[in-house]
Amino acid sequence: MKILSCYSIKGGVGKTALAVNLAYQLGTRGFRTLLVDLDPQGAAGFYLRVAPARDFPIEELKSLTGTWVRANLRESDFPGLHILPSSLAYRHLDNRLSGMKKSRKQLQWMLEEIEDGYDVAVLDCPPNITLLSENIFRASRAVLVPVIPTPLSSRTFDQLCGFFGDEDLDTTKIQPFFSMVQSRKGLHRSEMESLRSSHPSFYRACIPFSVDVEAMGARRAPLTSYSRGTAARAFVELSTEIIDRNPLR
Amino acid sequence: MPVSLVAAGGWTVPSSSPGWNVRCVASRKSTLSLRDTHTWALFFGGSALGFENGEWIGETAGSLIRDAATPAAARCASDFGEGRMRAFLAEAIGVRALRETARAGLQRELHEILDGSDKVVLRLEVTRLTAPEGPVYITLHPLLGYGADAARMLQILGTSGCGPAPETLIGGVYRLLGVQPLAYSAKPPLTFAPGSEAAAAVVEILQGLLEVARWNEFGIAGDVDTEFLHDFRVALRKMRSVLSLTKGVFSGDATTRWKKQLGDVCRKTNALRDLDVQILGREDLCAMLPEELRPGLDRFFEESGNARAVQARKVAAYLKSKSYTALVETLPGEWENPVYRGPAAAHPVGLMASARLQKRFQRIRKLQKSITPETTDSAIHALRIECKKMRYLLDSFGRLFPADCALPIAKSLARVQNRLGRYNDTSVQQDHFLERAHGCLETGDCRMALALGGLIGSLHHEHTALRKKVVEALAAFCNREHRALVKSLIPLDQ
Ligand SMILES: Nc1ncnc2c1ncn2[C@@H]1O[C@H](COP(=O)(O)OP(=O)(O)O)[C@@H](O)[C@H]1O
Ligand SMILES: [Mg+2]
Repeated sequence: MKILSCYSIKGGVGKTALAVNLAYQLGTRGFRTLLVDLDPQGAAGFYLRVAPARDFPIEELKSLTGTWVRANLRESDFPGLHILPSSLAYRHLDNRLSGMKKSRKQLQWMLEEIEDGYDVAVLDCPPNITLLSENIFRASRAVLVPVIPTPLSSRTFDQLCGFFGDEDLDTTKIQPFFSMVQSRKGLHRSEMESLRSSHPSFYRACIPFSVDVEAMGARRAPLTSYSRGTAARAFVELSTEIIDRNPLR
Repeated sequence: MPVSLVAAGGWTVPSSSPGWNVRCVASRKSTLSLRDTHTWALFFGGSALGFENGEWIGETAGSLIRDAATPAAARCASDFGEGRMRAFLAEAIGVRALRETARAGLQRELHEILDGSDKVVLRLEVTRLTAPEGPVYITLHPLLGYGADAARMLQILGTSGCGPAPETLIGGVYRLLGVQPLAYSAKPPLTFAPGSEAAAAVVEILQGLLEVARWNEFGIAGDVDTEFLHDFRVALRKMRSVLSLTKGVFSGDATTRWKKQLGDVCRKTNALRDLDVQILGREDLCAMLPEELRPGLDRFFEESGNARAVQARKVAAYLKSKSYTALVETLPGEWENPVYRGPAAAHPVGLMASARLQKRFQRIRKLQKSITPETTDSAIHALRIECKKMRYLLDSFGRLFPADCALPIAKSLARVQNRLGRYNDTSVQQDHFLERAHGCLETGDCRMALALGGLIGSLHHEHTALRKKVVEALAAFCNREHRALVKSLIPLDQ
């Protein structure tokens, strides 16, 4: 099972939008896919109409276990796509992780317990750099980072790259893409140009700023499952690029 | 795991109930054309195959295989495009041909059950059998993580007239249309006991084999597939063999006459079978040649195909002839006629079989010991015939002996025979190709001559290399362990 994470230090940049659409694309393309909602806000689960998980017995855990994961797996309405919904108890995850042995490997071990059932897991991650995110970086084959082409966003992206360097993490895992792009804005265009030249790893497909993506919240389904619009096509193209760059089988 | 249920015709999906919404997401009429071989290989193998809505649907080991690219007219595994369906069929039906076994009119529906957030919690696949008019087949597909909903739905279905499915949709179609799948086996079941009198046992064997041969006639006459002729010939050869292996059970004159008559029938089909084998082996033969030489075989196979068509017509005509039909109709009566009983007719069959198995084994062992590097191919051919006879003895009488004696012998013998068979084939094919190559030289077809030359070289190489394997397998067959087993072949108590 290969792990692809949708991650950014910043909130509200399009992590969940990608996670849901990428997972849907993977499922319909024949990959047995698990979407893991690690954000206590549970937005990914909301989009797929799946209720939050039963209480995560976080206080009692000496380590993260696969038992709880297996008991909470849910089949989505879409082919090949399962979801592990989030739990409010995830708010305390960092706190608990720091008390565990091998606190940076816990997530990987937990996911290894169910890896036989899936070809790929897509992780929808909460923002901030924490112990949980370090777990995520270690477990992942790729860390997919939405970057809004503004100077402020670029700065947080550089912070992430710096963090990988400091912690001796594999920087080639970082795979950024442009999110919420408004191509009529000159600022966006010039920012994209300069970021692409300093970071050739940016995906070619860009997700435009679009009311279609916002409307996903009312529709509660992956945009690419019902729309053929520009934004949906961008998610399809980006998914294809991601699959090409990260062989999953 | 999906759950299959059945309800009476006219059954409807229970309507929405508190906390649930039911939504019909698909509904359409379709015609299902069911396919199987004449031998019901799929039905009795626990699989199924049908063509519906422009698509082939196969079912095996609980999983569905779909193929929308192959046309409805496909008749055998090799007509299907490369893929899962073709692999499944090659395994399940070999080179047998498919035919339509039944046709049914269906109404297919898919219903989704949604919870309060309009999330699907389970699906109901509903199939109404409309022609012939029949029951409604319901499959409940639970969704992972929504087991409680599935359990609740099962309860509701139970009170709405659904029950456990006693038959599959296909089983229902066959039942309602009065189609009765009959199991076919090229090895007829035998009932005689070790103490039965030899004549009765041999007649039972012969009649079973004749029945197999006769069942296959229609498939040969209609040129359905090559398996019919194959099974027909094996049955005839076994009959001849059984007659010579049970010498004394019938009078010598009768035995000789019947053997000759059966041999004559077989001989009439030799040419057709040889061509069948050649054409079936096309892929393997092509694989022996480098890409550039392969086109040379196109003409070769074209000629073989034409020759085969001629032979197939000849054989079909022969099976309709007076001489053939008269023979197969009188034989069973003759076998039972007391005037043809021989001196050993009343002997217990078990003891007779063990004596003859031992004798056959001794003969094989003697020949095996005499093999040297100088031994000719024709001597090895003689050995192959002996092995074949022993195999027929084991096929016919093996069940009279303890399995732990008879089975290891049969298994080891099968290995010898496989190698000897290929050893023989590689030699016969070389001769045949050489003859055809001479023909090419006369007509000036250099490309075909070149391709045949390539095949002959490759076959020669294989043949030479096989010799060592044949000798090894023979030595293993005649080893001390097997000698002891053969000695201990004592018929079971009745
Ligand atoms: N490309 C986009 N265009 C317009 N709105 C977007 C786009 N991507 C996301 N949004 C909206 O922005 C908000 C945050 O997006 P989300 O994917 O949840 O970000 P994150 O997971 O990074 O917090 C949501 O309301 C979402 O509908
Ligand atoms: Mg989010």
